[in-house]
Amino acid sequence: MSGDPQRIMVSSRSGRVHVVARPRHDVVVRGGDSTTDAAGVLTVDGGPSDRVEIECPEGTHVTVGASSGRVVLDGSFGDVRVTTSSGRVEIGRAVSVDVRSASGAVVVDDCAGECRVVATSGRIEVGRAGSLVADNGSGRVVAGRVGGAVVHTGSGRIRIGADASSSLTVRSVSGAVEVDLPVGSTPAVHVVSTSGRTRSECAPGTDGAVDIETVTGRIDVRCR
Amino acid sequence: MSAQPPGALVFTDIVGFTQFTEQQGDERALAVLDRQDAIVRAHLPTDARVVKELGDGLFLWFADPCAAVTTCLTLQEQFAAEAGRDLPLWVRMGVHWGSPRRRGDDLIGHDVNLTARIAAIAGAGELVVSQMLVEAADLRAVDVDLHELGPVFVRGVAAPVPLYRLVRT
Repeated sequence: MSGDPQRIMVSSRSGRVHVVARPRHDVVVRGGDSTTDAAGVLTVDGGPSDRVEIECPEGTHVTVGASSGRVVLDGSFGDVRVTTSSGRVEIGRAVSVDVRSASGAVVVDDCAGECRVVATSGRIEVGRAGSLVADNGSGRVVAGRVGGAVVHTGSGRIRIGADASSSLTVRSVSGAVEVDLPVGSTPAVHVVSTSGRTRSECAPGTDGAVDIETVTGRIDVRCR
Repeated sequence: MSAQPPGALVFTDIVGFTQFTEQQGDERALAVLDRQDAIVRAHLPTDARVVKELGDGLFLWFADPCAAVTTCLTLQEQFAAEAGRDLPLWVRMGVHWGSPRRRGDDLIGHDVNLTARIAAIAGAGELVVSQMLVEAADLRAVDVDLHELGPVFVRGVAAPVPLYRLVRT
């Protein structure tokens, strides 16, 4: 493969997919059948049960389609796309992320741009993200620090840490919602729960926006 | 059963509807479905139809793939404009191009099943489309961006299916 950044597409019906991005120039694949097309895209077919292990340069764009089995991406990647029916998904660092999972936890450490996670059930954990778009049918959503967020859940607790001046929109049917902003933040706050307690400790202002609506479940917005 | 001309198949589903019904009761849930139904029927082109209602979801058929895309995007915008805690119109949509078989007013077949699976991949407010829909539609005439999701394994289908998230530019 040549050019920078490179792109890898992996499909695996079952079996673990492990991709490691290191400071290197070549790609090493263990398991599955590999082909490279004219555009330089490396396609790896993991077959029905192969374990696939790939080492690639940092900044590589990686797309993984899996049916079951754990998907782990260690290191620093470009754009990452993962879909899986079941199995835990772990992603280290990426420029952008799109993960879709029917079940199984999704864990993203650091996403510089948009981190989009759609889950039917299972926990969503994001350490840092430029922005977060999370959709969870039933399951917790936890984000350490994001520059903005749009979150939808049917049920499950939501806890988001956000930068000052962030725009946060949360829509949930049931489950507590907690938002933590830096000390001194003065966002415009709109919090409404049909049958849950709401509380905002932040001084009102126009620096950022927090917009939360739930049917049931308490809402807490803190600036401390 | 008779053959149906190729068309765009659309499945929709309201995210969190089961929890909403449990929390708010059947009457409020029915009000949500009534509003969804009114919005959809107000925006359907004349050569499209609601094939059937599936609980909180809808199965739609369009003769024209571009009309399916533009209508679904408009529906998502309408849903977003009206959605709130009393009206959780947080809708996922999947669109596929195929040739189902007709059974009375109903449509059945592999392409129908696949469309339902594609819709399940989408998140609230999203439109996910198949490669076959993209190939059938001349999307240059529509201001949209395609975000490749990659090869996606869906339940009941052996080979991975290329899917895209489609957004208005």
